[in-house]
Amino acid sequence: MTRSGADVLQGTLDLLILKALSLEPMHGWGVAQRIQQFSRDVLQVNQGSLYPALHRLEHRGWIAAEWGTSENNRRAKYYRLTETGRGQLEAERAQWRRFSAAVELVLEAD
Amino acid sequence: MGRARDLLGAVLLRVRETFRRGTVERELDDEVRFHIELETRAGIDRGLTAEAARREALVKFGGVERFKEEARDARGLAPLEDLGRDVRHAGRLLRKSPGFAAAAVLTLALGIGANTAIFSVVDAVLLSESPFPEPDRLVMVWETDRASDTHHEPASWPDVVDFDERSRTLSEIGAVVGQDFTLGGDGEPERVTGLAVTPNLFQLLGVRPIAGRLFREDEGDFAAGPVVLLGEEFWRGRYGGDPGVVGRPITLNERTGIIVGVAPAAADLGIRQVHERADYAPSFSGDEVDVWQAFRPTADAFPRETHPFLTLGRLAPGVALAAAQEELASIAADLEEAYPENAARGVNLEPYSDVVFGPVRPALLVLLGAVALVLLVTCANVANLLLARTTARSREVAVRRALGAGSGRIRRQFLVESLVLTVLGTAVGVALAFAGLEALVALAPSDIPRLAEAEVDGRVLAFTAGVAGIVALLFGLLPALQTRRMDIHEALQAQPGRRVSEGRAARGFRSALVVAEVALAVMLVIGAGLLLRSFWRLQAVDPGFRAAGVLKAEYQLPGTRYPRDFSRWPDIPEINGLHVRFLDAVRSIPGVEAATIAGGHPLDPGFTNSFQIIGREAESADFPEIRVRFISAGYLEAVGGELLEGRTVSDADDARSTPVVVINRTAAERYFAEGSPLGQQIRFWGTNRTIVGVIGDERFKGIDQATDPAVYAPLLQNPQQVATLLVRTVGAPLSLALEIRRRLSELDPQLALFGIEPLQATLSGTLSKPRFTATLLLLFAAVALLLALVGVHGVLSYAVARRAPEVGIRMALGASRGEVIRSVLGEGLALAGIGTALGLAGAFLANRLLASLVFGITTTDAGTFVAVPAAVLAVAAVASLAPALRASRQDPIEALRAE
Repeated sequence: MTRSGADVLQGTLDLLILKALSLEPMHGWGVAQRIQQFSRDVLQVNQGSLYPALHRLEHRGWIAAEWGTSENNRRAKYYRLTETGRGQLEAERAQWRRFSAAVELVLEAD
Repeated sequence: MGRARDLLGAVLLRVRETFRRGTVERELDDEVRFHIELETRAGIDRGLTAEAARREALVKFGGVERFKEEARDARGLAPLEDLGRDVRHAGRLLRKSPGFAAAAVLTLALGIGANTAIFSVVDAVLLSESPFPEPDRLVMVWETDRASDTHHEPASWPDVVDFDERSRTLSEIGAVVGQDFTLGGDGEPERVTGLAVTPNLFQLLGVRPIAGRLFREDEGDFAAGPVVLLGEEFWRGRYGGDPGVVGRPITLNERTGIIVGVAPAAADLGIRQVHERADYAPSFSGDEVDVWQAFRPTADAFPRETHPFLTLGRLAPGVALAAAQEELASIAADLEEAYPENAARGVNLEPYSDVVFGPVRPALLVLLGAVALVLLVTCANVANLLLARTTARSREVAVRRALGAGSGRIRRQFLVESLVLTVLGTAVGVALAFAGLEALVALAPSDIPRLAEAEVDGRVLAFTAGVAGIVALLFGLLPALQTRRMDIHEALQAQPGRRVSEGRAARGFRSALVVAEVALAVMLVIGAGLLLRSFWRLQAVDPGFRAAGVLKAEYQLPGTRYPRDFSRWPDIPEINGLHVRFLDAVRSIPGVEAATIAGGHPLDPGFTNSFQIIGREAESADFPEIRVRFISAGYLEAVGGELLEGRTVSDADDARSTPVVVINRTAAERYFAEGSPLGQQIRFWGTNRTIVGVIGDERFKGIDQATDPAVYAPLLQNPQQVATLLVRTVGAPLSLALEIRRRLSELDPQLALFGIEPLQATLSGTLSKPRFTATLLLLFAAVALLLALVGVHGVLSYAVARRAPEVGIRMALGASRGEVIRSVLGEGLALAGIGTALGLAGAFLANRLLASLVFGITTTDAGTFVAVPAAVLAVAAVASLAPALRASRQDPIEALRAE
């Protein structure tokens, strides 16, 4: 289980999931792969928290799920971003930018 | 639009998850399986073997079960659904350990049942609504007598009239005088309990008739024949509840009158207690009023010096008791100035509810407090059981925690378990309460007002539900909190099959619980001990007569055929003749050892009268009234009294011989300290009477009250229409009852014999209240002590099991069995000792509540405060002995190997 990379910061997982799903509907494994891929293998999604996060977002109405058929003909649960979720993604993205800019300012200060 | 749809989708999702739980769980499984499959394939693609890839996928996922727990927690209506699952889980666990479940449920049932039963009594007696409107405005108007230092005397009729006319603070005044009747007419003559009341009494109380009408203002002229309201119970029992009785004639004491209505049973409330409160009053023989007779007394028949009237008043709206007391006291002062008969007289207003409930309130509140303590002990005990179980279950908890169950989930699980236990305990407890209440009412003294109305009703059940809720929270939270401190690693590393040791904090907590249990139990045992010792003291009191083997029966001669003709007083052959003939007839019955006819029976308070000692008239003016009894020959033999000096009343002391009296020891000591009283004369009722003897003291008003000075005058020299036959029998007293009744009806078939009971029962009846309180408190104390000892035993047993290896090592190193036993016993005694010390302190503070209930001892009675701790420590030692022996008997090798 030795892997280089960072665990996804608590609280940012929601943002990453929303972003991943903003491109196209996909199943849970796909979301994890997509995040890892986007981050060039830096971000490892702890799969133990991935599914609870998906279910949490589903309950908030930010994403919706339906059962579909996967590329290899298996039954899979596909998640997609809802309209509410799209709005939320923008809000979270803006907030993250403010936050990371602020952290950057602190770190750059002499 | 879109947002609303998204929201709706989320809501529908929750609904579906709640109601289609099976499907949702399956989908969760599918999703996980799909993920792991993809992950495994990715691993194979990277060149791993299928097995290695799958293992890596599983590890990466971080525990399937953990994910499922978290996914469930994320769901919305989960609490509801979890509750159901928790209840099922709790049920399964309890079924798996029936011993624990039974112990916990039974313990709770005892605590909750006792509380329910006692509360139902307290609710009926003290808390239920008064049948009278604005009951706070009802007061008793007593007269006081500074000379005899009495504060609860009935009033004279002219005083009642004066109070009524002059008072502004009382809007209404009414009076009651007890009068038992012989009900005539068709069939056997029957004795009924009656009250003669002023016509306004029901309006004063605020009572409505349940049939017919109340009395009119102008009714109650004695010469016009009785005007009567029937009591509800009597109406139902004797007349079958027929509303047609209204308007029918009724014959009381051979005078025929009319029934005008029926009064509700609730109108009786307090009548009996008022009679008991009075310094003197004709005895009120029944439990309820059978007939109410309208009565308008006249000052001729009831002059100022006679005081028969129990007087009630209603405070005018907005008037405080103190203001009314002040006004009536000033009226009484005017009357004292105006009339010599009112010398030294004052007035004393007392809230009616104090008179009715005052005597029983302390005992009931003490009992309520006692059951509350018992409940605390049961809670502590069950909490202790649960804590022990929690420790035993720490592996289960640790595993579930490791699998990702939130600590909230686990706390909830424990709370639900305690809730399930409480619900079961409450159900059993309520069943116990039904049975217990019946026993309680049977055991209770009959003079507790409204006791018959006690029942486990909605109000009581609501109280019980409240108590149960608190109970569940109290003992359910403790184990739940304990799990929070639990060390998962330690719990998981422990070998399966070996008990996980509980933390130091938990151990300390369980010990504290046991100490608290012992302390509460000690408080209760001390309270019970005080009441018990006080009850023994009461029983050991020499009443001045030997009640065993004596039969008591009363009768009344109606004025129609047995008139009290004062012109011939005291030589009234009609009255005296019947008494003499009846006494002769009874004496001739085989099995009668001695018989006498008296004005009253022992423990009947009778009445008091002012008196003078001839030659010491000036001094006599300051003497309090003296108690007057009428007796005939054979009195001392029949009741087992003692002659100290001179002679007692003989058959020769009749209406035509010189008036004589006998006095009791207290009168002799108080008034004739120097020289002999024999030959001296005292005067009352206008007659000089020569003292011919001194007899031993006999208790008059309750066995717990010192004997007053008294004179005993011959019945035949003071003819009485109401008389009591006292017979000392060879066999069982009641076996002669029928024969005695037959002898009386041979003399006069219209006369009814009533109040027939062994004198022992009369005596025992006066002890029924202390017996009731002492018995119940003893029972509660025993339960609490037993539970506390079970607690001590449990904690020690656990400690012994836990320390088995340590003890094994010590024994292997040469410690003797004696040393092992001593060490365990020491631990038990330390717990019990601390508890006992705290309990003693608590008892010392709380037992002043018992002050009004003890007799002959103080509430800090040294004997009780020494004996109880000694006894508690002794039984605690016994409870510790079994674990101690178990510890000493173990095989050291075995104990070490187990490690």
